[in-house]
Amino acid sequence: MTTVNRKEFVSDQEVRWCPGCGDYAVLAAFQSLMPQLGIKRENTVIVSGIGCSSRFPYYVDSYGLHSIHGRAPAIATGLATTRPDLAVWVVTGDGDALSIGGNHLIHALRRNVNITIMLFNNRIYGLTKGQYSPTSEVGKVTKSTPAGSVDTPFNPLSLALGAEATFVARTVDSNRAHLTEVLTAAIAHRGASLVEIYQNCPIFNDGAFDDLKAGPGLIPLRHGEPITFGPDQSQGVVRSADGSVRVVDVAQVGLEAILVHDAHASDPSQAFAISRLTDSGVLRQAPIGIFRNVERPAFDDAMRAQVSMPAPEERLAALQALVSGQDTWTVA
Amino acid sequence: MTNVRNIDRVVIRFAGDSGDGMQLTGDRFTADTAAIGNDFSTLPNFPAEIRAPAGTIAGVSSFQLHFADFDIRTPGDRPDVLVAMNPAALKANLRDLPRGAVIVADTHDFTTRNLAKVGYAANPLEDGSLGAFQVHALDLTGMTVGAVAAFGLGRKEASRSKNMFALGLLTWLYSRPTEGTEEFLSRKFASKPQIRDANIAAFRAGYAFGETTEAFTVRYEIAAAPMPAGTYRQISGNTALSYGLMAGAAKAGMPLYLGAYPITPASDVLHELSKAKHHGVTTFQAEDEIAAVGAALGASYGGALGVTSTSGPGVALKMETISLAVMLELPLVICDVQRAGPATGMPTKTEQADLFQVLYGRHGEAPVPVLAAQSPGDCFDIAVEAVRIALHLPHSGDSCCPTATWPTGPSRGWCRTCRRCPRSTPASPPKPTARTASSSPTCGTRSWLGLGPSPAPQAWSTGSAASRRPTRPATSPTIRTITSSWSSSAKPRSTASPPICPPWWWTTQALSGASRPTCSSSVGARPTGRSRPPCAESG
Repeated sequence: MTTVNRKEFVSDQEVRWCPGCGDYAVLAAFQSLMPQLGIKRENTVIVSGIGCSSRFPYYVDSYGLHSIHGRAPAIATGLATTRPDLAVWVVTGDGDALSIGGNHLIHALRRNVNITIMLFNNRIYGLTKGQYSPTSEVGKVTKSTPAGSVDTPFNPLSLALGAEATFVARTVDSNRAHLTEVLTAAIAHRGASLVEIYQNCPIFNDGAFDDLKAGPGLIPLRHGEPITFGPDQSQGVVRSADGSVRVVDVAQVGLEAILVHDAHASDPSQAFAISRLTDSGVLRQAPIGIFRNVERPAFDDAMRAQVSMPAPEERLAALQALVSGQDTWTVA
Repeated sequence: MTNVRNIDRVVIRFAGDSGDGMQLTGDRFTADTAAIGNDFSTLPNFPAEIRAPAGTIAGVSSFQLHFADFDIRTPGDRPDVLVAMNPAALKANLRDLPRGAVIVADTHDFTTRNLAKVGYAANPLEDGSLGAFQVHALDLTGMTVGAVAAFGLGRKEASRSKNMFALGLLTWLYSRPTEGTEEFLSRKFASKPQIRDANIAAFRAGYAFGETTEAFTVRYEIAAAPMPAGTYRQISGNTALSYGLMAGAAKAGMPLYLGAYPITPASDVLHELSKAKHHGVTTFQAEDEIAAVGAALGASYGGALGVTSTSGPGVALKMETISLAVMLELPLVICDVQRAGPATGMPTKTEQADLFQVLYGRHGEAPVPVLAAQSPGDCFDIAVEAVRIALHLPHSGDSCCPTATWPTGPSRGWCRTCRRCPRSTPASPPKPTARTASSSPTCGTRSWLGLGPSPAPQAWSTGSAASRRPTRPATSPTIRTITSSWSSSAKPRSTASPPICPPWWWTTQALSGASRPTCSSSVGARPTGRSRPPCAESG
C-alpha cells in the first residue's frame, strides 16, 4: 500500500489567484488535508461554480468541474446521488452561493445531500472587479455603489441553520490549524456540510477581516466547553432572558454562568443565536468553529435505497413487459 | 327503420363541464374504435383550472377523435359531431362546426341559469339559431337517472353516469363494440359495485336508446383501416417517451437518472419514471428547472444517463447548463414537451413553436442534435434514438434534445409496439413514413428490445457507506480509475449499439458543419478514467 502525499493533490496548472489572496491558504490546507484523510484523488470530485474561488478545481489533481454560476450544489447533488463512492466537494463564494445560487444552496442543505461545501466569503465580488456582494456591509462603497450599498447582508450561517443544515461551521483563511480541523470534521459528516471560510481579497476588499483577527473578536466554539474568548479568556457568552445570547465579562458573571457550546443539539436555536453574534457591518466579532453537527439521514442514501436495478439479463425482459402493458390487441 | 351508411371518416368531439367525464368518455370511445381497427388521432383539450367554476366556458373540457378506414395524421379541424353536455360546451365549440354537423345536446343542463351563465339570452336549442345543424336535443341526464334508478344512488350520483349514456348512444350510432367499455367499467369500479352497475346500465341504456328511438335515421359504419400486422397497445406520448428513455438506458447498460421540476405537460414523464425505480431509474424532483438539468448533468458526470424533462419555459432556463453539457462532452437528453405561447404560455394547450429555441437557444457555439417525434408512438423510438446519439456522438458525447412535438403533449395516440422504425427507410423524404411498413426487419421496437447482449455486466450499487471515505485502500493513485462497481465504462460498448439507422435529417440539418467542442483543461473530465482519460492527459 502506497502512502498518498500532498503532491498528488497538486495539479500541473499554474495557480492564478492574485498575490496575497486568501485562497492560496485554503488550497494549501486542502492539499495537505486530503492525504491525511486517506481519500484517493480519483475518488475526489470538486465541483465549483463561477468566481475567484471557483478556480479551485483546476489546482487540485482530482476530478473536478468548473461549472456555471451558482449551480454547483445542483450538479453536485446529481453526482452525489449517483455515486456513493465519491467524496464530493463544492467550492463556492459569497456571490456564487448566496446570490445567484442561493436557491440551490438552501435546498442542498435542507435535503442533506452528501456534499461538503466550502463557501469562500470575502464580502466582495472579486472576479467581476469589485462590486458589493450579499455579505458586504450596508454602506459599502464599490464601483456599483458609489453612494454606498443599501442592501442588508446575509449572515451565511444563520441562513444555513434556517435551511435545516446538519453541519454548519466557520473558519478563517489565516488559521491553518483551525481550517484543517474544521474541514476534517466537515468531510467526516455524512450529509451536507457548510463551511464558511473568511477569506481576504487583497485587491478589492483588503483588510475586511483585519479588525476581527487583530482584536479579541474571534469567538472559538468547542463542543462541550464554555464559550470564552479574548485575552486570558476574560470574555464569555451567556444566554439572555429572551433566548438570544450576548457577550459578557466572565469575571462579572462567573464561569459557571457561561454558555456551554453544544454542537450536537438537535434543536438549532442555540446555534442560530450564536450565529447572530457575528457583526453584520464592519467585522469586529464573529464566532468560529463548528456551530452545528447533527446526524440526519443523507438524502442520497435514502434516494438510493428506493432504487433497485434488475440483473442485466432480466432488465430488458422486465422492460418489455412494461412496454407491452396489459391491454394489447393483435392485427393479423 | 334505421339505415346503415358506410362512411370513410368522421370527427367527433365530446364536450362538457370539467367534471362531466369527457376525457374518460373520449378515451373509451377511442379504445373501442381501436378494437375495430380504424386508424385514428385524438386531441384532448381541458382547462388549466384544476376545478373551474361549473357551467362556465372556462370550465369546458373536450376530447376530439378523428377515425377513418384509411391512414390519417391529425385529429381533424372541424368536428362532424359535437356532443354538448351543457350550454357552455355548445357555445365554446359551436364556431368549429361545419354546416350540417350533428349536435347531440343534453337538454337537462340548458336551464335559464346555465344559459345566462354563458351569455345566451334564449335557449339556442329552441330559438332556431342552430338551423344550419342537425340538432338532437335529448334529456340525457333524465334518461340516465331513469336507467340507474334501480341501484339506489342519489340523484347527483346517478346523473354522473350521463357521460356513459352519451357514450352508449354514440357507440350505437357509429357501430362500435360494447364489450370493451363494459369490461373496462367492471375493472375500474370493481370495488364499488353500485357505481359499476350504474355506469354499465347507463351505457347500455344509451345504446338501447339509439336502437329504439326514431330520432336517428342513419347509423354509420366505418371499416377497419389497413394496418401492419402486429401487437398494438394504447399509449400517450409522455408514457412512450418514458419507456423509450428506459429502453435506451437499458440497452446501454446504464442507470437512468431523471432530474425534473414539475411542469405541465411534461410532469407525466416525471410521474412515469418515478414508478420505475425497480428498473434502475432514479428520479430527482429538483428545486427548480436549472437544478433539475444540473443534477442530470452531475449524474451523467458520474456515469449514469442524465435526462431532464420539461416544457418550453423550462428549456429556456436550462440553456446555460445544456451548453455546459456540450462543452464538457457529457451525455444528456433534454425532453421539451411543448406547450403553447411565450413566457409562461398555456400549459394545457399544445403548439409546435419551440424549434428555434432548441436549435439556436444557446449562447456561443453549442450545437445540439434536435429530434422531433411525429406521433405519440414515435416518442418511444425518438427517445431511444436520443439516448443513442447522446452516448455515441463522435468526439462530443454531448446533449441531445428530442423535441416532443404536438402529439407528445396531453394528446393521446397509439403505439405500435411492433412497428418498424420509420427512419429505417433510407433517404426517405423529410416526413418519416411511420404508417408505411418498412422493409427493414431490424428497427422495430420489439426487435430492438430483443437485441443481443447488453454491455458488460454492471452491478447497480445501492451501497450506503458509513462515511464518504472509500472502502478500498489507495493502491495505485497514479491510475485514474474510480473504484466503482459500475463505472467500467460510461459508454456502452460498440456491440451494444442499436441498429437504428442514423437520423439523416438531424445530421444534415442540425449538425451540418458544426464545430466540434474541444476540451483544453483538466477540468471537465469524466470520473470514469479508463474509458475517457481526463482532457489534460489526452491533450
